[in-house]
Amino acid sequence: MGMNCSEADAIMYAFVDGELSGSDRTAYEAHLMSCDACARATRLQSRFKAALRGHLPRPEVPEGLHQRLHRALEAEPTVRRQWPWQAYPRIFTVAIAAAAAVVLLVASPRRSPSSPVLEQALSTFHHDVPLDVLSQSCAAVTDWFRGKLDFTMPPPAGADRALCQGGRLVNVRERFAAYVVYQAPAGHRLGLMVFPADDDLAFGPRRRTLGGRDVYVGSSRGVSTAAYHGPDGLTYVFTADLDEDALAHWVETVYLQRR
Amino acid sequence: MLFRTAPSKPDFEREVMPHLRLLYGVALRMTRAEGDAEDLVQETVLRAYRFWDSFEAGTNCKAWLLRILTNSFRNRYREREREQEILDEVESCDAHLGQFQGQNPRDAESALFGRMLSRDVEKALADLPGEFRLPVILADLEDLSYKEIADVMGCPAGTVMSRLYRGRRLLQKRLHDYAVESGIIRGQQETAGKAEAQVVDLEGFRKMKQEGG
Repeated sequence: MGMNCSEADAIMYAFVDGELSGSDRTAYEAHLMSCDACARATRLQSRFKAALRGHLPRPEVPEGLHQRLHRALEAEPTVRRQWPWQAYPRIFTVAIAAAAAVVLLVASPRRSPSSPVLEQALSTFHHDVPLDVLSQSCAAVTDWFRGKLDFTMPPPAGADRALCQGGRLVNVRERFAAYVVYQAPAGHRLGLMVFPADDDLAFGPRRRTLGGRDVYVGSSRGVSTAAYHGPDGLTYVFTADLDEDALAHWVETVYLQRR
Repeated sequence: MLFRTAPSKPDFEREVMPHLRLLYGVALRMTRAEGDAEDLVQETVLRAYRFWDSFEAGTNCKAWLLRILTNSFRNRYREREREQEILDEVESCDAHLGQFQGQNPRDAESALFGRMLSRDVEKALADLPGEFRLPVILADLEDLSYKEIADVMGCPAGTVMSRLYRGRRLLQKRLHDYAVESGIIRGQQETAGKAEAQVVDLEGFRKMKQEGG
């Protein structure tokens, strides 16, 4: 019944890349519990992946490239298009998705969230993705992100009250974002995704005021979410296997604590 | 305004430019020279514009652009046909991070993760043949999913997995060799190569499990 090392080796990268789910993942984790060699190899591969990202961060786009591309496109003859859904494929996709979302919202008004970012946060949380850095110290986790993001990851205001599990780089809307996992009270787990957003993302219908800030809360499939736009231009999305009130309390005391 | 016959360039730009950083990042890791990377991105964007009507609405624009970029790269730089040679290198020596697990694992790890030079990492990555380098870049540096990488490479996800497997181990073997050369860690006698066939995709893994019991 148990997995052997050769079987584990075959899917080790899938595990490290966060691509395993369900019974495959459970079987793999069970094997790691009983096999030190594979547990160590997995940890090394995970660290190697993180080290690669650390050594080779995403480069900045050179100053002149935008203008250069714009000029090159200007020189191109115009492309022929007949239909608006061809001309605006994305807009139509979005419109159809929005229409579908409206239908869903009308059909089941309690079914939040509808935002793609919230969906992504939930799916990241549900998959329990492997972490690039493991540490109980939130300062160490915050520190690890330095130089890997194109924004500065701020430490939580109430850092001394929180314990971390670790962090990972994730991709949100085509940019790197920070994903930090906290140890929430009573053995619960709490994920936080931080990323820069220039626009206001719609986070759902229920709004609360926590620590003087508008925070959007919701729940879906047993997981609560809380999201807000920070004054620092960053968007914070929390997910936890806590109820909404407990999550709101945690966010308020750890993240939105007034100094 | 909806039924216009010619979409404006701003529409195209609005669609494609958000991916510029990704395109440039991949181009730079593939070409290793800023000027070449810019040329490659420009070629990619112009081609995308010319073939814009072949882009299927609702499909992954990111993967589509990366596919154009990698095709342009291949046409431009006609990669050395030395894949077989490389494959032999991977197979002849089951060398990877395991080799870093020397007498004192902590030393080896700190050598690899602490003292490894970015320059060496960049070179080792650049020296991988494109078939292996691309999935490593997309998975490790750009955080794409296997499905997205499969879309870019036009191959099944199982192939992505086996290329990632080989690409990463080759990369690790080379970094290990650098570390030995520069005296960061002591070389080890190579253990006899593992002869067993490697199954590195989920389908194969499930099959193996079924057969096994």
